[in-house]
Amino acid sequence: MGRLGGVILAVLSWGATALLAQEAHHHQSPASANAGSAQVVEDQAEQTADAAKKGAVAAPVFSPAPGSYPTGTTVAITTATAGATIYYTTNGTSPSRKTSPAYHGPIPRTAKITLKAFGYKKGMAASAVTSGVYTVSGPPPPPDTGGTLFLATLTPQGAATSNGSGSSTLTLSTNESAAYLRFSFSGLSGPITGEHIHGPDGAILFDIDTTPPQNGVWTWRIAPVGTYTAASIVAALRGGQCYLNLHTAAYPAGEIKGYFHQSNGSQTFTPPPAPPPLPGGPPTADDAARFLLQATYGPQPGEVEALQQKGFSRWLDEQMGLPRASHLATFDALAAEVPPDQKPNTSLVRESFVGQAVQGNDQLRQRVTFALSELFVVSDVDAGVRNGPDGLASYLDLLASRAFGNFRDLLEAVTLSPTMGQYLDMAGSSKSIPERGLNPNENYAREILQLFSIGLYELHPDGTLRLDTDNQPIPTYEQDVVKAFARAFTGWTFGGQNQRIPDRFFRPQRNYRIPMEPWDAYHATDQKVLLDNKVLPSGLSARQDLSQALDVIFDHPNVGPFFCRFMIQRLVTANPSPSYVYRCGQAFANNGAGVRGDLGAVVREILLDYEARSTTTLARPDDGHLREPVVRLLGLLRTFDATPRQGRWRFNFDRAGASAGEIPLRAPTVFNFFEPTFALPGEIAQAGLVSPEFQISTETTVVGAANLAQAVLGNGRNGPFAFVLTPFVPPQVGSDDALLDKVDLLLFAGGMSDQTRAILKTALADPDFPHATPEQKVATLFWLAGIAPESVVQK
Amino acid sequence: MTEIRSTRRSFLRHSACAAVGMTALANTIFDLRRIAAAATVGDYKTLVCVFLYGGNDANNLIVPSSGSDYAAYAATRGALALPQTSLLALHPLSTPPGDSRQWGLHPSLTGLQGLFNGGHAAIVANVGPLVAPVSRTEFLARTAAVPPQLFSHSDQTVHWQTSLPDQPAKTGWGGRTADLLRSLNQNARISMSISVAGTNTFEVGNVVTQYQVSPEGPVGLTSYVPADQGADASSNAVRNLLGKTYGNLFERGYRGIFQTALDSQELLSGALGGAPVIATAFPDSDLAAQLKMVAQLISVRETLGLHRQIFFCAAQGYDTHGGQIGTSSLDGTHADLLLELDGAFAAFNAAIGELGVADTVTTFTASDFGRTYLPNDDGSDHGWGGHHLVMGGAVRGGRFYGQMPTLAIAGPNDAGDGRWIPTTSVDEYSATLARWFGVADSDMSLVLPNLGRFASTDLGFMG
Repeated sequence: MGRLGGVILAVLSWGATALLAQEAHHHQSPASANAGSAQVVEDQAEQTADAAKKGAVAAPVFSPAPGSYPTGTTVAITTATAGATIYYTTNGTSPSRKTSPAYHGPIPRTAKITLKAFGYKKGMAASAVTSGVYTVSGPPPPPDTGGTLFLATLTPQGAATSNGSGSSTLTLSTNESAAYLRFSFSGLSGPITGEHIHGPDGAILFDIDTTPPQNGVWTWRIAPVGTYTAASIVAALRGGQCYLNLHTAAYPAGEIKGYFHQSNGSQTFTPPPAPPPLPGGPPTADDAARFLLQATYGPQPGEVEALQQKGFSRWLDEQMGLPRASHLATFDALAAEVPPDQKPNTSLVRESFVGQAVQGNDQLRQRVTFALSELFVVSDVDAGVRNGPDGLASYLDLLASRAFGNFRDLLEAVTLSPTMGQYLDMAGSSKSIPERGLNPNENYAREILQLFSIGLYELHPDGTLRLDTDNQPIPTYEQDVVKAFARAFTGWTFGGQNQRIPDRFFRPQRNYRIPMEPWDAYHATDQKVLLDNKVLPSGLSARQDLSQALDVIFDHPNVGPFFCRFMIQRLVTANPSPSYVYRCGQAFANNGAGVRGDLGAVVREILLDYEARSTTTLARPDDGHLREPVVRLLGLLRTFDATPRQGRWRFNFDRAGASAGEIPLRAPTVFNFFEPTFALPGEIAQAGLVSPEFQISTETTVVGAANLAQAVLGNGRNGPFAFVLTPFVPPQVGSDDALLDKVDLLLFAGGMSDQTRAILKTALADPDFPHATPEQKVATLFWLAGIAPESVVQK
Repeated sequence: MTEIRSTRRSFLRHSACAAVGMTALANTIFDLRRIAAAATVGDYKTLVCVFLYGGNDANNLIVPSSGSDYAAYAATRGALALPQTSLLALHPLSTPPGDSRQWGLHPSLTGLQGLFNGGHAAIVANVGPLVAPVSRTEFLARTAAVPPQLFSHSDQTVHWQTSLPDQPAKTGWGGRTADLLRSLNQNARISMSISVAGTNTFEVGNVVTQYQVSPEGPVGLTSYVPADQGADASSNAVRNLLGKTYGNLFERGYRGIFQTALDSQELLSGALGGAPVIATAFPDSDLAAQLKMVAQLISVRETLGLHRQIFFCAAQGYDTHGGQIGTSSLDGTHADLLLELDGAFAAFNAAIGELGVADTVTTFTASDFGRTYLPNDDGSDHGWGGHHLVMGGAVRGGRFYGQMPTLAIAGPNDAGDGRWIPTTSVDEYSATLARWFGVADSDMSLVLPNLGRFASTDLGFMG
């Protein structure tokens, strides 16, 4: 229960006495037993005050003096002027009587603070402001800082109905002869009766009780136990197979338990070694198909062979250079067909989205754009977005046109998009105007930090958590920073307004097709203290503040690993190794030509990295990720080179009984359809893995997605889309085996197991299998293969 | 008793798969003790959580209605203020001690006005996630612990649903309650916890998993034919693909969800097929459709062997930063949302009355947070504490519980901009519901381990 803690030393001081006196004024409660003594104190204080000459209050004094101290120690503030009240801030801003707290006891510290305080007493001039910076000094460094860090999250063991939880860190020394253990816990049903580190078969490898801790750290001398050698213990630990558990009387088998996983976080960071080289030569057909399942909506017949000839790198170059079709132009063309008594709506934008995703040759851009739309989320669940369908089309164009551009440019374009301005309420956000009841809107400021760029906790360059000296994650910002960003983002509304009409700021004429524009009259020009105490000085214009605030975000070290991890999860694998994130983050930091934020370089690294291309990971139980429903469905359409029979890409993702739980550009909230950290309860969560797409994979949606696919495929000839099936039927495909080979390559990248193949082959051979036409047979087979676990999970 | 079409084979398969209704041997005695303490045979209770996603502006749910209190409200809330004449009068049987203010409901809530004044619904004031009680002074001086990431949707939603704001929690308080009481559903054939609104943390237990249905009922696989009903080739292939073992964890996760869906589909379709027709008319809204499905599932509780049910429903769109009001405060997003809420609650109350289970079904609201009392143009920002509604025959209705905040910027309840520091914790609110549902006092710490930090273990709104 770490947050309840906080040691408050009972330091009595003049300052504390002064406040006691002041409180006696406020609480006129003669019945109170304390009132008498308070009155005495008050009288004494008054006498002292009488003795003092009228003048300024003595400047506050901090004790201990500013400097570096262990976490949890407190700072006392005193003033020599009796009866004075001390007002203070801890975030570096100037204290004031109106907005700052009054001091009434020592201030506990767990993080760096900039303390500023002044004394005030009625009838006297306020004191000068005393300020000082307190940083947190660490306890003695861990015994072996060069080792490997393992973290365990302790949760109820098995079916134990426990509220217990805890966390543990284990540092394996570089020579692997010892490990240093720390753990904390709360909520157990009773006192601990045993505490052990167990091996994969449940054998006790380290009985913690047998060794007293020093400064909260247990030293485990790794020695042979039973059938384990020291080397096999280390191997099990590194393989994520060792767990810590705590036993209680109620749960003799263990109440809480957690497996150790390597380096999700650490206090220090060491760059990982380079990966092994990949085999040279042209890619195999399976390799090429796997690449296309990652980089596109899925391969069409012939594309695998073409990629084998071209090679990955040249394919990437060509894809990034392909011309792009405008969603806005498509929207306008479709809107022109809308009868005059109806208004064009956002479903037209989705038609454009689906059409490009299925038929666009710029498949890499299509796939990356969809991924970006799940990071920089806008959604037509929101009425403000819905009311400007041309804005949603423009927003999609904005993402697509910058998919291989620069992150800083993308961030600014997203920020100034009127659609985003509507969705997260930056449009029309004004400086504080008390008489009109106006305050800066914090929504965009919060989400750009938490969701679009840096996240809640400080990261190392490999995306793992940076830990403080107590092995706790370090928050990237507090509410004050959100408020400061909110002020920095004030003064923007829809572009093209007549600024001589002041009310147009709040009631603009809504042009969704051009970026928002600044109104300095509504911009908060005071100083803003942003991330890591970076300061925007007062007096800057709306445009200057916005530009510099975005620079501050862009330069934050979290951005590279945060963004890269997200994109890897969307395209390649749910649980990238830290070294994979690191390498992509390095590409983000520098594209090789000294440019930070080059998204083309990042996409290239994500897809060409060892971890994306090596086949050595394929057999791992944690490899890959669930392909999200939209990608699976549009991928099937792409495989068959689908075109709509009625000329329009009307595609109902959410029909009754066939809801896949995902509609492009219609996430339920700004948190997207699913969050990067979601772990399916059960063995995936227990293994410490995340599985984002499982957040929308329920009994309802898994079956719903299958039904949607069935509705779209039909019998191959009568659905809403026309298919090109000649590559799958005689004479091009002459046998069931040849057809299964095609399915294996295009949907499984050659990863179909013998068992799955046998199941599908048996079905094909069954006289009952739908085979009225060759097309029906193909459609049914692809439907079955498309819901098979081995194709749904992309590895 | 309705006949069920599903087979014994699928029942066994389901039970083994989901571990619902199956009790670990080691816990049998533990559970028997609980049964004795918690309930009698034949006893039946249902909790229905209605989560208002986005953070409901409770400041416009319940509004000071008279004299200077209204004037101050109107002055501070500006454009968001509801006209005094539009407020729906509340006639509480009792008011919070020392608080003589009069209150009215948002004009959209005509049904709930009747339910409150008729004693079928209660108001619980200024509830929110807390690590421990905290004063304004402590909050401003940062001398007391507060939940991490206050004012963040995702975190506060999780805090509401887990009631554990100061530790990482995978389970919700509904899920932990189900874990404790699962043996009451000894012969149950589906999970105690059913969500009609997708994945949630509230119903996640260590043992009992949430089963999801759509407002239309179980979602079936089109053209799937069960093995014992003349299965065809592709249905066989589906069964074989799901029956195969997989090494990859994601493949296993997907396979498990698909299998559970097919098993439960058979079972529930059969039960609902024999359900009584509900005569009560429900409005045409998403929330009403969810609650209608809840009523139907309650109606087949005996068929499913359930003595305890926990339902999760939700409405989206309460994050009214902008567009909270329309051309006036009487219309716009918030008025529409509350209209949906009101219609759904009123119809659901009538339906459970029709089913004769009004006294055993308790419906309560929850939401990310309240919203700032200070407006921003035509909306409001993320707040903290908010007021909530509890409805049902077992509710001591027509009353306020907890304390209504002092509605003043920089007043004693203000954390800034009219974010009310909660005076009642989610723990106290949840504990009152959990106790009624059957959680024994001695087990309450397993559901709500932080409860001891707060003044009340029972707010008294359940009879």
